[in-house]
Amino acid sequence: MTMEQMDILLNGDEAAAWAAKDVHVDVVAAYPITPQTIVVEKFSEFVANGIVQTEFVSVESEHSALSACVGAAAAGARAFTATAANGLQLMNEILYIASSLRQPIVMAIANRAPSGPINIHNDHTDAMNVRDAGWIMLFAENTQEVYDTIIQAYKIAEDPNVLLPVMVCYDGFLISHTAERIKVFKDPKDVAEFLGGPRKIPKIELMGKEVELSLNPENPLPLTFGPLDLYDYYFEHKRQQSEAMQHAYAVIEKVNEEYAKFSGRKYGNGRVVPYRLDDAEIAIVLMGSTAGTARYVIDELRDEGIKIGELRVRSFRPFPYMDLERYLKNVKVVGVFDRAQDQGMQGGPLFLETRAALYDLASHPKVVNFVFGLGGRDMPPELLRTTMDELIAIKEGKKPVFNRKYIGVRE
Amino acid sequence: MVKRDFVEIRIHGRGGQGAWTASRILAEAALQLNKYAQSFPEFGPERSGAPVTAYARIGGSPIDIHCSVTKADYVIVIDPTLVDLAVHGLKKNAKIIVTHSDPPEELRKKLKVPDDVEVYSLNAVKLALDIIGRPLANTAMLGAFVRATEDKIITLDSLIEALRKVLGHRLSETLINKNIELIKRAYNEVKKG
Repeated sequence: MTMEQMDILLNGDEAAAWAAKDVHVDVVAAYPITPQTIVVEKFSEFVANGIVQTEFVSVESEHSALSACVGAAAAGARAFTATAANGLQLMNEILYIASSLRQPIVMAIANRAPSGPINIHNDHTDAMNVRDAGWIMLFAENTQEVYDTIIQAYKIAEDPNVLLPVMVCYDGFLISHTAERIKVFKDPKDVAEFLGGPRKIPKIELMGKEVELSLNPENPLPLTFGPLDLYDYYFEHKRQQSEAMQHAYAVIEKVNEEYAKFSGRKYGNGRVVPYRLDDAEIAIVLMGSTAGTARYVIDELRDEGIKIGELRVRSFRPFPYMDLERYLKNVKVVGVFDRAQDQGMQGGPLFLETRAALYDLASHPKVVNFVFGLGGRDMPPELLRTTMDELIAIKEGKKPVFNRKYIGVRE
Repeated sequence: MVKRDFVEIRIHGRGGQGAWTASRILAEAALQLNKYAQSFPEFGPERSGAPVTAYARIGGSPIDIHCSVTKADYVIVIDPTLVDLAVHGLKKNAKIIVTHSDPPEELRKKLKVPDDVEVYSLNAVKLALDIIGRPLANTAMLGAFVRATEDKIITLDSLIEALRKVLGHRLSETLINKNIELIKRAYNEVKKG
């Protein structure tokens, strides 16, 4: 039976703060940056009004925000932060430290184009820039999914087989500043129940004693987090970290299932969300809010008899290569939409990974790339339609000029 | 299959006049009627006094589209110096609802409004000055919007409920009541031409 919920109007940033409130995180350390600012504003309101007893740490930079979260998480807290673009770049050093110390921090990212030139609008370049930092990266499509995914993220991050930080990405402005009707749990206690109560710290065996894996002065043996780790063990630790990311595939799916029972909402298998792909000859692959706009166009084309569908990638890390193989194996043409820069690359990041995922198939579809929406450039249905018409032409035999095409740009 | 049964609304104002707030009130009113809605600003850094635009989409089913509104069903203008902006990006049979001292027939001529588009006008700035003592026409123009759309998108009751929800914690009870009076007057006094 699903838990009792209520319909309210929230924008993406407010939904992120609302989820952190319902999780009742122990520590928030954050620094405001457009378009994430509302997350910090809204959450500090919850703290000031006594709705949560969270320790809110005002810091002087994003580097410090994440550092404080690492410290809090290492001491056993549920930690939360949020940022975007340049703020995420300033965090870069600590991103790797958080993941290698295996701290289950959850961070909301209102995706925004990095400077320069200075731009505050949406694209995914900020997230793509940190795609190898060892964080699980989930991309939400709309405001509802921001709320749901942040709650799920804690359960994924804290799974004893995973213990990795999670980024919940959503499109800056397009989602962060768009108020939508969403469902939230009436009683935050239900969220606590879903998460299985407060964070459980795994125990390890150390010199014959059972020790909590945290910075706990009560521990029978003191632990150090983040010591020097040279060529004697660094490689093994990286290998283990990689193993944890492999475990995340199944955990993301399991948590998605559990959450569906709890909320009535399910996002594909948690890693990808297919739409009208069953008999599709043409597929588009994309992430974020454009997936919703594209479904209107897919329906329009389906009405005209074109067999086209969509595969939305929800988990960019770990990358769901097995799902791409499964859903795209019978498709003839795949168009990958990247809302991220492709400087000096053969195509955008999503394209490169998609094409690599399909390489081992006995016969692969033609895979082409569209780079769109940089710096917030709009992607209306009409533009999606002409782009999908291009895919139809390729299916009919038209040779693509190059693997990659820029959509909606002045040449 | 996704349903596309929503209407798109564009609101023109100046930074500080509450265009984005007006779109949020519209969306909240839709929610009161168990409808689905989006409210968002023209994405960008707002500056006090500069022209700003806000949008709302309202429909009977979940709204999955996430991009700008390029052609609106309804345009609301809450600053008389921005009426020129009302006539671009309109769907067929759109309605424009503006605050201006000119009667709608005159505005139609001045702005060269296409024949299929209905024009509504009301001197909401003056009305707001009389009732709330400030030249803020955003709430009044929502009352005018309800009248122009014949209570079909949102209703006066849902609008008042939404006003309380969105502004209740920011404004005093007296000011909320004055805004309600303003909305009702605007609803009754807006003229079609």
